[in-house]
Amino acid sequence: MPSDLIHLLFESLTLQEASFIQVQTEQGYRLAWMLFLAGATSRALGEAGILMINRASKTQYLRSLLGSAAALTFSALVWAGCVWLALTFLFLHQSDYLDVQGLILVSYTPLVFSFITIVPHLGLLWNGLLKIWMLLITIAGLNSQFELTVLQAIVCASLGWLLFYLLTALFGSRAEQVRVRLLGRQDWLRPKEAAVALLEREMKG
Amino acid sequence: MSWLLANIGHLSLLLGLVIIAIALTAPFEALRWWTADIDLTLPKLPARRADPRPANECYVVYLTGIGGSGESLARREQGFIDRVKERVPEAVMVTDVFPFSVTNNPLTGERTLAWLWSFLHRARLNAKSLLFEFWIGARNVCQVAVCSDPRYGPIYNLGIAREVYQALLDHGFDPRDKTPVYLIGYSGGAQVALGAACYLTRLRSPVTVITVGGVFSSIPGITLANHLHCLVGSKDRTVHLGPIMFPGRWPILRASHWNRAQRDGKVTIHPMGPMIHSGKGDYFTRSCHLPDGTTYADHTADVVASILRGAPSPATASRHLQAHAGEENRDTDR
Repeated sequence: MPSDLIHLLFESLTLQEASFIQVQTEQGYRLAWMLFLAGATSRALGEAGILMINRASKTQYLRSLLGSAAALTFSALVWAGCVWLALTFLFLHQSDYLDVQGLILVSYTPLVFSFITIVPHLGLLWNGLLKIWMLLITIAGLNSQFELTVLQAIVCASLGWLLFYLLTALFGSRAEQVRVRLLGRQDWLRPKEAAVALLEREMKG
Repeated sequence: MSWLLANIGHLSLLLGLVIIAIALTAPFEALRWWTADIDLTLPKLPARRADPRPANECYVVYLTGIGGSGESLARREQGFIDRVKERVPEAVMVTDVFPFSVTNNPLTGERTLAWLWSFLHRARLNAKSLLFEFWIGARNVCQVAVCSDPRYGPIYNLGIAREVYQALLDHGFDPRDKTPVYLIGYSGGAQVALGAACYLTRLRSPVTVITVGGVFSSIPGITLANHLHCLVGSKDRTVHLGPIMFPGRWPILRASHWNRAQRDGKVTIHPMGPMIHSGKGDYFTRSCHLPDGTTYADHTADVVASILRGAPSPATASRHLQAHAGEENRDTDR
């Protein structure tokens, strides 16, 4: 089982067609979810610095871990839906939503390295690189699994992204409120503002 | 030797892992400080001094480069401080802030790995080997990255600003007097100086930042400071890392603090002639000379002194632009 997991991880990271075929099987689908959860955990570890800045307690940290995983899962499912819509209505492809979902799960595997985003300065660049990597896997998957040309796959992913962007613009702030509530962050500190206010009072008072 | 060659792959992997570990743990010193139950109340103001302050008094805080361990300044840097003091006797020089620790805790101070840093510090002084120098530099570079990171920077800079403020008070600074404050940052210390300026500019005193071969990002300290003076040697390649590594320094991002400050005329670049970043021929070298016979060390001190006095910088004089290094080998500095 662990060797299968590592195998799928390696194949998906290297954009191999085998990973998209494997995820169509029941075992492959389960493994893809396990990798996704590993990615979510890694991402939560990468956010540990932010949580420390916000002086999170252990309970808040646990809530944030779960909340972050839930938010990531929700966004992955919506993103899969957007790609499925683009695939169905633009390319008139008779595809099943679960197939697209499997592909999107595979595309999230680079997130297992997202704990590295905690590295100062370069971590932010790394985060950007991970997003590009995820997009490349999505395009490769659309290309191999749904028999689109590379250009069509790029168009499909772009349209899916546009839909996702529109949804975020329309409901993003409400979703952020839910996310913040899930993370228990609504009362958290804003360190920069707090520090500035304190220094202003002390130095000019 | 053959063992070394045979295991070069494993050694490289080990080296890479240790560097990644240093980078991953870099923010935690600042974060631990921030999450502890710290007292952010600033020290009490000193009692008013009875004696009048000397005319043109100013406070100069020197923040060392990434080679610093916080124990004491290198001789060449101390020599630079002494030269500036000779030229501007009314300047109060503050050199006891270690810029790569939010709590001003030297590498050899009270910390878990103090024994390791002490060993590396002693070894590099005795052996003068890059092998030992590298690890201290790598650790401090990561702290520069913490300082420039928009996530951790505000906290790191607050800690440093607090330490600088405390050091200023310890040296007789009275914030009510509006005495000018100059922050001099060498190499990576420039980033920390600008980071501290983000908060120190809230003092009533004008705060000016002087970078010597500075590698820094585009942070609010640039626009908040009274002025930013950058001393740049034509053979200093390290100084060009800043405009490459930090997107805010790219001309395309016109709204960045760096580009805005430049448009507002708040940045002055002082060409220093053919100085390099570190080692023989750097800004503090006494054995290399400009064509007019001035040593590099004296020229750097002259430029800084002219900034402290508010006079036009001698570095702008064209005589120095095409200068080349003198070859006397008298330097005994590190």
